[in-house]
Amino acid sequence: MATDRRSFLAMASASLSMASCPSWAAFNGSCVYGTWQDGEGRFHLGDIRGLTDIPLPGRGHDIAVSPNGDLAVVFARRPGRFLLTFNPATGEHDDPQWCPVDRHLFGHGVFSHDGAVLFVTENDFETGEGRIAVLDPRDRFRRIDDISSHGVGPHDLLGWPNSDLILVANGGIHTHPETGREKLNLSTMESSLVLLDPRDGNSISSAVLPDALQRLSLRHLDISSNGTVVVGGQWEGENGWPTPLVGVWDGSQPLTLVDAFSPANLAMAGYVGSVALNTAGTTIAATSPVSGVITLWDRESLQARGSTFLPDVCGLCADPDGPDFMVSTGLGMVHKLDGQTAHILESRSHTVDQRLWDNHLVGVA
Amino acid sequence: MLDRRLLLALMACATALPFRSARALEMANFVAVNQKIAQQHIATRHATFAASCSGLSITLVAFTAGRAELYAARQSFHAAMDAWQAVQHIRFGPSQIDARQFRVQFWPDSRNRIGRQLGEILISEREDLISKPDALAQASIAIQGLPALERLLFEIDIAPGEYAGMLAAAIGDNLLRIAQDLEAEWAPGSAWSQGLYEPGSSSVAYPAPSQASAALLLSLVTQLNVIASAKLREPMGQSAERARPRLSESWRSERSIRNIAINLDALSDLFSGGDGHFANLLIQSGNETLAADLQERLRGCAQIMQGMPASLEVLATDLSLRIPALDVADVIDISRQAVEQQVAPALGLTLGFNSLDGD
Repeated sequence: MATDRRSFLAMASASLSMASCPSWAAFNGSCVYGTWQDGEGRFHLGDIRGLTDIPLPGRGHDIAVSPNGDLAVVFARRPGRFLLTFNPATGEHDDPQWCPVDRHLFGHGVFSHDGAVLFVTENDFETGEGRIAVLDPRDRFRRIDDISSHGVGPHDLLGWPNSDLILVANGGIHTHPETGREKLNLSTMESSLVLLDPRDGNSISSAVLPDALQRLSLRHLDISSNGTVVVGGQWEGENGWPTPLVGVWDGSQPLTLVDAFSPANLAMAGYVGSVALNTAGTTIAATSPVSGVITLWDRESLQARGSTFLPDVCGLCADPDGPDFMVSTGLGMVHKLDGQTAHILESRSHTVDQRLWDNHLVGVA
Repeated sequence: MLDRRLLLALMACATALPFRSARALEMANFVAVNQKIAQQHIATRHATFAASCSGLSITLVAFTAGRAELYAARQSFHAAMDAWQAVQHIRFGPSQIDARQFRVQFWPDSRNRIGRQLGEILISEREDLISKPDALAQASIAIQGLPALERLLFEIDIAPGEYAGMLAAAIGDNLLRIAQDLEAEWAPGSAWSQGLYEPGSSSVAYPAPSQASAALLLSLVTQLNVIASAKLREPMGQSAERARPRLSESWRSERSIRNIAINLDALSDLFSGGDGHFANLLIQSGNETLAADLQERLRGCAQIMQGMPASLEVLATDLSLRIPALDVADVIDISRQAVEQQVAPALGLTLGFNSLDGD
């Protein structure tokens, strides 16, 4: 059944593959994927040019791309359980697969640097323990191992450059499917970044927050080629209290955070939905859908560089072919933003076909 | 005076209201409402805020020179706070730039940053803050705005010719500049104003007029939430014995409930003021009952809070007022849910796909 469907889709997408990523004219050839909801409330996966459109069995979240770029996986949004693999160059895709019934996904995953395994954050919701499933892409994503995330509510995860190590952001918040997305442990939550060795599951090093920031949930990550981690947080503490929402980590020293009271940090209203470094690794971008703003920061000095008001912005990635950033909004807009100033360089509107772009964008180099 | 009959009526109609999306609205319907809200609601109220800050600044300068009484300074503070509470719900665009919202009013200050920083400055008597026009604008946001001024005017025994008085005048000047910037950037014909009703104009923020309408409706939702939770329930506490009135917004100037009454009046105006705004859109979409019921609830809540004592401290402990005040919080919550679950779908609007439901 799956084979029939796959071959059908391969034929159906033949015309699309002719127009695959490198030949796209708008957005300077950028090949960027995201998920969206349509006007009827159905969920999709596709690229920002509108060339691919893959129906999803539920709301999608982030996408992991294999190192050679020929395979990608979209993950169900918390507390969904599906993952769906596709070829970003052709739009071909498989039927969705599902994680075990006593688990749900957090919407994020990453391939190992050699592409041999896929790591996926999961919630063992009866114990409340964060887990990282290790799947085999060459054997229909068979589950080959399952390690602790060394925290609660693991969210985003990344591979450490040129190594087998992986980095996970434990958001610290316990949820259970019976209570939906309700946060069950805010008074005791403890968020962390953990660098771990997936071969034995051991934690190599970790970063935690000072007591005053106990209710900051570290959730989204990006990393430069030389191993500077960028993290974006969400404040679960006192309403309106200024909290640093963007930080950097080198894997060993304590986290360095932006000035909580700087206007750009204040403008994000306690909530960062996505973070990204530009391809050169010099500028950090962070989006806040809550206040509808994208802010740019110098990676070295952590001083704000610029910001732009974009209602319901959230999806964000570095432009895979240039120094700029790509962003998407829940109003159906995709923009390319200047990597130095955050000014809008190019826009595409999906308002007519009603694409409410979801939380994340991923560039395929 | 508390109007119990009105409160009972509001609570009685507080059930899920049916809606229909039978009649689709035209783009022109949204453009017309956005334009009226931009020009009549947002621009007018920001002009009033700038004018009241002008009065505040002049009065504080006169006070430091010994030409005005403390009473006059306090009255001008009240006028500026009244005008601010009437625009506080407009949190996007110009209000977000340069941390203006925070600089005008750093609240809630749950960790007493204002008290600590103001205390340090009053001891060190930093000269530049009162002599250089821009120094305060560059200083900590906690000491730039209305809450810091409130402490100076209502908590500290300030007198003409003293540093504290001159700091108050500097805060008044700073508030005036911020208010004038807000007024200019929201003025009719400005890029921000036009961006709400001219799709594809200078601002690409809202590609469709209906999306700008959704953003304005989201301002209503957000402020209803702030009022019910941060402004009412948190300071009221779980019981009269466990009330924490010092968490309320303006307890030093004894006007936290007055703030709420003004907020609700402003939201009522946003929803159905002028010649109808959102209520008009609902009527055009065939939802007359929903429009009338929500209009009645918002107006009624504003009216009840206007009849309450201005200070939350009294409400929190006097059961004859505490219970009705919490009833109003319930009506506010139900009204917010009605906007999210009935008004938005009736108008075909999506409220905050990412902003209300992030991950």
